[in-house]
Amino acid sequence: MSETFDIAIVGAGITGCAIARQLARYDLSICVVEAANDIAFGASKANGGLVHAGYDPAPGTVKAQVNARGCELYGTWAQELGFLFCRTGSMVLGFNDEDRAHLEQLRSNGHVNGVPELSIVGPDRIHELEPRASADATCALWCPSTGFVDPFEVAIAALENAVANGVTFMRSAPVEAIEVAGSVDDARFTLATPAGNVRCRYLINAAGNGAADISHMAGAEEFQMVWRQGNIVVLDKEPRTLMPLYPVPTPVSKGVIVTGTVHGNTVITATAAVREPGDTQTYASDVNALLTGARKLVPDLDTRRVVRAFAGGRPVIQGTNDFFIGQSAVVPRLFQAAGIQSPGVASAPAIAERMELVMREAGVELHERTDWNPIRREPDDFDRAPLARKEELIESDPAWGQIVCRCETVPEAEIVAAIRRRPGAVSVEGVKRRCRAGMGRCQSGFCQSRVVAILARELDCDPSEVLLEDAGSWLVEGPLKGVR
Amino acid sequence: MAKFKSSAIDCGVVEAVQTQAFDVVVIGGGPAGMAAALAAHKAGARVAIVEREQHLGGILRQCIHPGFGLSHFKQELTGPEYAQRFIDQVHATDIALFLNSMVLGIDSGEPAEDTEVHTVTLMNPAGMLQLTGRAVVLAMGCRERTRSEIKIPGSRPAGVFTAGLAQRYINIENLKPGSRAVILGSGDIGLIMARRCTLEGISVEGVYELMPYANGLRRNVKNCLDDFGIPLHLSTTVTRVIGHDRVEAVEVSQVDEHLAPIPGTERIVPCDTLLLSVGLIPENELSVAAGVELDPRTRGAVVDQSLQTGVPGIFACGNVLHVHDLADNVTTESERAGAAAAAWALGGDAGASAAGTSCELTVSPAGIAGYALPGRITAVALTKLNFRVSRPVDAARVRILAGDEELFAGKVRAFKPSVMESFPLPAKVIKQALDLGASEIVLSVDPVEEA
Amino acid sequence: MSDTVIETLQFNCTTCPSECLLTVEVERDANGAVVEARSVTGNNCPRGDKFAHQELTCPMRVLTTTVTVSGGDVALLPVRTAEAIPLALHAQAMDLIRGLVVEAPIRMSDVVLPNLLNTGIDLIASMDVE
Repeated sequence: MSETFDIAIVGAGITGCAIARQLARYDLSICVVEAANDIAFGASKANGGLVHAGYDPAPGTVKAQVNARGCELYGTWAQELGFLFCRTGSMVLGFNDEDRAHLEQLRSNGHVNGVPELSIVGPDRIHELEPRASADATCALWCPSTGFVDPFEVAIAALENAVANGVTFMRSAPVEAIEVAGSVDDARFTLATPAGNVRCRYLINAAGNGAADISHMAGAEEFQMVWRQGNIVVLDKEPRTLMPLYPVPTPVSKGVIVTGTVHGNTVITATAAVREPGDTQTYASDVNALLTGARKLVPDLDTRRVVRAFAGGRPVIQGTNDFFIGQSAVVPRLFQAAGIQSPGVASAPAIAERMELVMREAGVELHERTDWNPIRREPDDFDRAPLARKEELIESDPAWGQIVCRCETVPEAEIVAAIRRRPGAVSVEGVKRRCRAGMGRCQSGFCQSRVVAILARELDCDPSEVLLEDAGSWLVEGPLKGVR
Repeated sequence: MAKFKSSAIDCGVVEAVQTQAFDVVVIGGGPAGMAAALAAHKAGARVAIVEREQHLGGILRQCIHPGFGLSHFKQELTGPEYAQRFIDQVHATDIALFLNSMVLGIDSGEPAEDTEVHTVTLMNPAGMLQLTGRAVVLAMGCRERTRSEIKIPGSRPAGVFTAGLAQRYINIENLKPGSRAVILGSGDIGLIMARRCTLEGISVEGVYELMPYANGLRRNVKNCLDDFGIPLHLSTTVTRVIGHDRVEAVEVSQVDEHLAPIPGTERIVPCDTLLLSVGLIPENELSVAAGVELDPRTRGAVVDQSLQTGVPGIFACGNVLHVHDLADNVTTESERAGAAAAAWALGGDAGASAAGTSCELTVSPAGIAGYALPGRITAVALTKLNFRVSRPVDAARVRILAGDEELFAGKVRAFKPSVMESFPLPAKVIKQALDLGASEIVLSVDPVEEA
Repeated sequence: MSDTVIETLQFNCTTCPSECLLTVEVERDANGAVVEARSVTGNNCPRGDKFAHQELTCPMRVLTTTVTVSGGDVALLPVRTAEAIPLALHAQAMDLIRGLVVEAPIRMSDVVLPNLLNTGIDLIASMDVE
């Protein structure tokens, strides 16, 4: 199989999905080529979901430009794409005079970067803004524009909207080789993948931790990626969602941050340690550092209630702490969105916007389609639905009344819908990231076997073929006994 | 009938939700719920059971092993048999059954002061429904602790299951979760699963236990491990999960007296499956939402001697109250809760007048007692105290203290954390405490030096 | 006589929840086979003594497992041996039981397989299946 597209985007992380959504409004054929079997299975999944405001990046960097703009765009994106976004504001807590000087520095950075309404506040205001913030904090940088999202939901929503507007999504298609035609002809690039070849006129590298490999395969810039690994801990839901609280940042990271999530959990994010590329293990030392760091910011945090600990690598380009967004200087028509580490989630909408601009400036013809629909209707979320809607749903289909995941109140019909969405879930984790079945405190102890049965039925396969996540992650061997 | 808040956003629809009235609404149709419902029914109450699953029986349906009924029925039954006996009894009554039904909330949207009647909102494939009752019995059971709660480091591949989930795959779904298993935790479910896996051709490489002693009942260590030559490695735990997509091995390490892994003792055990039997946690999310106060030690409700929670008319029993090791004990406790709930619902004032004798004592654990239940005593009467020790001892005694006074001292004997202990507190001891002007009595289990 | 060895064993009685820790003096012959249990102590009731003797000669256990169901509302029927059977026969019994299929409906205590491995003990259903 070989199909020719105007644009191929390598990587269905939040960056690739956002770019696909941005470009879907133009009269272009676009294919998103993803190595994994689903969306946001790489760096995007190992993320705390914070939409940082943009006072942190050094002024003048690409990061500084796209972060504040990305944060600004999230309001519109959330509305159009129907995902949850809470703009709660945040505080960077300072505990002494030295910290205060750092906060002043951050405020002035933020001012240059275009972050609105930053102010330094004292203990009374801190307590008023977040009563659970440490009473030892003497000062804080109050930033009203900070927020948080569910990063899976953003990537999924963006790609669903792109696909609804005609974008093609290829799963399980790791790019193994890239052939670049000498002349700038119609099919300049040919991507070889196990799922078939993809030919395209323009190539966008949004491959996250694989960006250096893609660039290398295309004969473009040689990057060295650094695997700056982060562990993250999710705590159980709380009656009141916490405002994001940051410590004063270190030179390599923002430090251990405590934040609420759109679903009412508390997240502690993230450690930063350079480890072997591909290492997504959690480490006892990291998890302990997170819990200790978090208690400094929120002393009454019940750190026994860990729902999940996970880890991933931030795609950092060695030698720079910045994003690289632009046309390759070596291979024309290859566009790079590389080194999208933190604040990648916060910047995603602005990275997409910037990519569009870069392509336009490079001479890519962008004609708006008349039938482009920016709206993606938010799928029904039973748990959050008002009682009236709950009743309506059950009346429409009794499977809405059949709860499968008890912790998150996810009925069978919502799981079926997650599988039938385009692109739909093909694994237990894919289901979880779309509708939260298995995301709760029991971590699928009750519902996993039921979700496996639903997946097997919907995908018309044997339970032994149902995967937890990507290829090789089988859950059961097959029938135990009998002839069934 | 439930009163609907006219200000509720959904008020127009809430009125469309049908309401059925009962005296006692029992949440959960496992051994606790069935025993409570039967006892309440026997006392003359109109009773409803709400159960999430399609069948009554709860987790007993997948506990196909023997060991049940030794004290309640004086014969050894399997879990399903034990459950079936109660299911048959329930079916012989007019107890209303709401199966396949999920409770969304208790008293949600009701004004706090309106505690005359409780409202249980549930849903099932037929729609939403509200049940009212003067008494509600919480009998939701417990869930298993997960890998995350005990913070096992490493990768996150497929093949890490709680023992109960593996039990469901094997005993209910007829699916084989793997071929080569390591079991972490010597709780009863882990031990039972070691035998079950072995019988079904899944090899068990070993059972690893963080503590220096087995956490399950002796009978299970003997019948599930010793019978099959499965090794039990004490003071050893899993320190890393290995494998990107599916479990390929686990790293185990010995731990020191502070339960910290000892560097240099790591060993790699190849396997494709890791089963976790690392503790149970009462499922109290509904209770908390209904305003029920929990005891941080049991993670179940704080109750009085009649198993009534801090919310009048709401009772709790079974594993949602505190984790039991024998279903028979769950039954006995739940019968008490069911009878008390019926008395509350029918008599109404019976409980109140007892409280009127101005007995208000809290009960606290001390020494090696990990918890004491009930946490409150509001009547001068023979009271059953339950407790569990936090570590095994060969010689210790139970003491009841009020202030500096020792009101009672039991005989010296051995105690094990795997056994939930029961101790009858005589009325006269409670009276003594009150006479001393105490507001608290302490149940202390104190190790003694053997002479 | 000089070939026999006296050995002291400790194990728990599992007859009731008391789980008495039994101490048993056992006489073994040159091949390690039990000649007799000479003394049993630690038991709080006579059942402990009986249990110890049985345990040393031929340990008996109830076997529980499942068989597949056809035409029922569940995939598997839990089954048990009506009484304990020799532990030594459990593996063989599992091989035999694994291939069984039963037709629903089934009532608790229905005989699924009579006289399992000529033990005289039936394999019976542990619950109702509709």
